[in-house]
Amino acid sequence: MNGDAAEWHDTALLRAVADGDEEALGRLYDRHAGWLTVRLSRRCSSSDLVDQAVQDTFLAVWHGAAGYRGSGDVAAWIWGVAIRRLINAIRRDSGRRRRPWWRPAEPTMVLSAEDQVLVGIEHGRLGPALASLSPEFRAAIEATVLDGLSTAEAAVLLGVPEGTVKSRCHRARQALRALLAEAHAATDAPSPHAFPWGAP
Amino acid sequence: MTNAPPEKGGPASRGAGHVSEHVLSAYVGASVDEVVAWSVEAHVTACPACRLALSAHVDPDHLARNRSVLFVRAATGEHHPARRLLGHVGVPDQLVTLMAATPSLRRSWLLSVVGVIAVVSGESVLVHHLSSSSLAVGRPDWGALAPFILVAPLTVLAGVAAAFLPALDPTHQLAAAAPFSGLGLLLVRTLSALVAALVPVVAAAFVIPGPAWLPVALLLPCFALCFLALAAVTVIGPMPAALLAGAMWVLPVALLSVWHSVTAVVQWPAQASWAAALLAALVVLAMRRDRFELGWRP
Repeated sequence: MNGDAAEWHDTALLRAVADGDEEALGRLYDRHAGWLTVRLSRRCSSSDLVDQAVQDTFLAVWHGAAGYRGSGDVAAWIWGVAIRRLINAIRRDSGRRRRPWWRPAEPTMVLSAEDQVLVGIEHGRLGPALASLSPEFRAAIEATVLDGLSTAEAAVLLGVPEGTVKSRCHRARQALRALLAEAHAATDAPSPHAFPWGAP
Repeated sequence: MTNAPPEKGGPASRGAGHVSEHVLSAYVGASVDEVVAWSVEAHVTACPACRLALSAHVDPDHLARNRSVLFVRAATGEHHPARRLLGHVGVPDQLVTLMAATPSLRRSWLLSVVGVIAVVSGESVLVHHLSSSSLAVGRPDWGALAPFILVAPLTVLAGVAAAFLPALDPTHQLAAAAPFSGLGLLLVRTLSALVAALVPVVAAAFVIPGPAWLPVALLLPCFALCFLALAAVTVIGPMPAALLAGAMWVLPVALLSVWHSVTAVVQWPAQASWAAALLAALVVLAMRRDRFELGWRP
């Protein structure tokens, strides 16, 4: 079975859940709760809040509150719901147990050369440039660019004032631009085309 | 189309073009830097096979517990006014969920308790009026109270029993997910079920013709019966414990009503023995509380 069929299946499941089909809710949960839990856990150290956010995500689908427009990737959509439910859960928690999710100065796994090829990081200029940013800047970029959060939402998630998120994003963009320009000047030959996860 | 998940294969069968198991477990263990993590996330969002492989890294028991909490929340509704009120007062959300899922705190259960109490109270009132019109005024005879005295504490006991009888309990899995000890959880549910059932009982005791002390006198036996049942659960199973506690009420009441002195069961010497029974039950509960800890099944 290919990915398209699975997505169709997910779309049908979503519709069934919104129509009040409990079995469909269970199947949607079994399919998506695991990776959502892992991914949310990278952004929030309280497993209670993560669990709550996962419940809230599926409840939102259940109550039909989160309307899926019927186009696009269900997994990407459900992640968009989940990250915002996590932010709501953190807000409700009123900051009692909140801490920044990033873990500075932790031993980082050294990727083998093979893994690096698979991950496709060494090929581009963006990877090293991003890696050389400070953890705070990377967190701000992750929340706003990759998770697509607003500055206000990112501020809740990162536990810093909104102005701080704005200035970190601004400075991160500046630093990235500078680093990429440097890298461009340094490379004479064009870098090999990157196949993410390795060549087929 | 079958109901099976689209990708049955384990990590080993994912092959080229997918995140290696090595990188996935490093991602889960938060020992990759953000840039690698972003690449993993971007791929996983678009790849059902790698999502499945990533999900395999989460403790299945943890997911199952969260699943049962989700189902209770889906079944009990989120927007009940009482629920919101409890939330505003500061009662933890998970506690409210547990209370909402207690069968004896559901509206249907409470309505049936009120119904039963209304029937036996009405019967007592009726018998009292019939007998007082035919009998000469003398020493008050509370024989008409027998049905009420027999049934009222039993409804309270039934409410508490329903809070812990696994057969009636949709949340026996949920209990393991709650941030309370087994005994703490049980006490929360027992006391809330007790209070909820006592309200109609005490209200009825005020209304029906009877001694003025009746509403107060019923409290101690109700508490004693419920905690006797809880203590007995640690020794015999939940159902036998509920039946045993019920028998400890029915037998004395039946015997006393034969001797036309049914109110003696809630009067002074009997109250002392109810107090002793409550104390003994609390001691047993405290000593055997580990029986309620996680993993214990009757």
